[in-house]
Amino acid sequence: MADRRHNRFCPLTMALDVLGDRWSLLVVRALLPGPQTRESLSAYLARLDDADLDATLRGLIDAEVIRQGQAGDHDSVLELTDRGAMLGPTVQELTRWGLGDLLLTTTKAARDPELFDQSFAVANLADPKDETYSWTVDGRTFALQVVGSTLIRTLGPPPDPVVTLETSSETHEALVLGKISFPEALMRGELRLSGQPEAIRRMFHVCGFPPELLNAFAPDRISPEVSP
Amino acid sequence: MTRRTYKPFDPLAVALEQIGDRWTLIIVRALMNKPQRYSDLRPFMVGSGSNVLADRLRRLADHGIVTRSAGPRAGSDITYQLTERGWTLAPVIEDLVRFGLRSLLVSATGGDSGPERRVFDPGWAMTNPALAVEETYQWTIDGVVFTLEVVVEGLQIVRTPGHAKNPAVLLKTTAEVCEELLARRTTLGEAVKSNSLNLKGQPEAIERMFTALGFPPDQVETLRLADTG
Repeated sequence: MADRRHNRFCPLTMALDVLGDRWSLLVVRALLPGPQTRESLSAYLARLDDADLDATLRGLIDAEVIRQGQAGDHDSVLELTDRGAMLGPTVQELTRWGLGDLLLTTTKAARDPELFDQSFAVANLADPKDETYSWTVDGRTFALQVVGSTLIRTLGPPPDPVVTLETSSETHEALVLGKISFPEALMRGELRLSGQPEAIRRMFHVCGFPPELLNAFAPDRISPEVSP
Repeated sequence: MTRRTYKPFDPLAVALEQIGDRWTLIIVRALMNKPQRYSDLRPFMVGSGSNVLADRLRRLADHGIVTRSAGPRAGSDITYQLTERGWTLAPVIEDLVRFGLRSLLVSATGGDSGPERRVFDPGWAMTNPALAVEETYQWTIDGVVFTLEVVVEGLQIVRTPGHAKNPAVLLKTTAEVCEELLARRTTLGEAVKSNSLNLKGQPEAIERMFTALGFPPDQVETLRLADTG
């Protein structure tokens, strides 16, 4: 990888020398919940080839954002340093910023169908299915259609959704950032879901919700009949 | 038509796709100071390829982060400014600035750059390199002393740990105040007035120092107001 340093006496430039690419902050996010082996990082960042992953990890180690550590029976894991852990709020802000685009709640809402690559999420799914979900966020309805390992988002309600989800962008954000749990959001009526519990779980998996959030929500605790 | 993208349905990846690139965030930061013409933005792009500025501005406009507007008179320059969505990036930039600040200030706790000598390029901040003056500045941040030396030949700023021999300016403050300044929650003038930032030196040398180090001109101006007020 080329030398990314620009040597300006400017704190933003200094930060971007380390983090100004598409991958570094994804690595930081992956490590926020705790240390990981290189293999599990590689699975999580499936779109990144080995050479790029190694270069990204090396850059982050040199900048003292992450370090090699030891955990349990693993010889070597990667973990955040104190300095790296400082980036938690940055990752949250960026996540919040990107959500508007995914949920079509920003002013620039895509009218054309848009295709997303979900191979990273589908790879971890025992029983993937081609099916369609209907999402209504802040009153705007769109379809999410699974085709193989891609997800196609189209504005407007789909004909035969296996799951219907209705929420506000605020609640969705709180869920993604782990500020409230699925059962909480359902109980308060801030999230409405209907469909088979297995289909609901599949949907959240395919949409890339972190597994640790999904572990917290047991399928039998979802009652589609919950009303506000 | 379906747009082919390789991004996943993942808000962080989507955000990084739109603004994760270094030049994009540098442009957004420059526009937080004030709306800028294309030619005003060029100095911020020193070190980038020739078409990068035009390309990033187009992408920022496509994503609804930046808008263009023509001046009041026919033929007046087009200026670029942040949209409401663009302004929502301010907290992200503040976080990144806070993160990067530790590499600039030789702090007591160390940091990635450590206490060793380091060379910086001030070319992006000094729009007229002919005005560079060979002099040194001594900074004390949180009790840690380091020297910043402007070297006219090759235009460099060299940071070394320890005291300066004949500093043109002495600056003393805390990392916290530096953060406040960079986040624009206070101005240089206010910080001096409240005694949270101490400066010693000729006013012209002080101005030269802040300019060479990339402080925006409107920040530097607050010092003059503090003097006369």
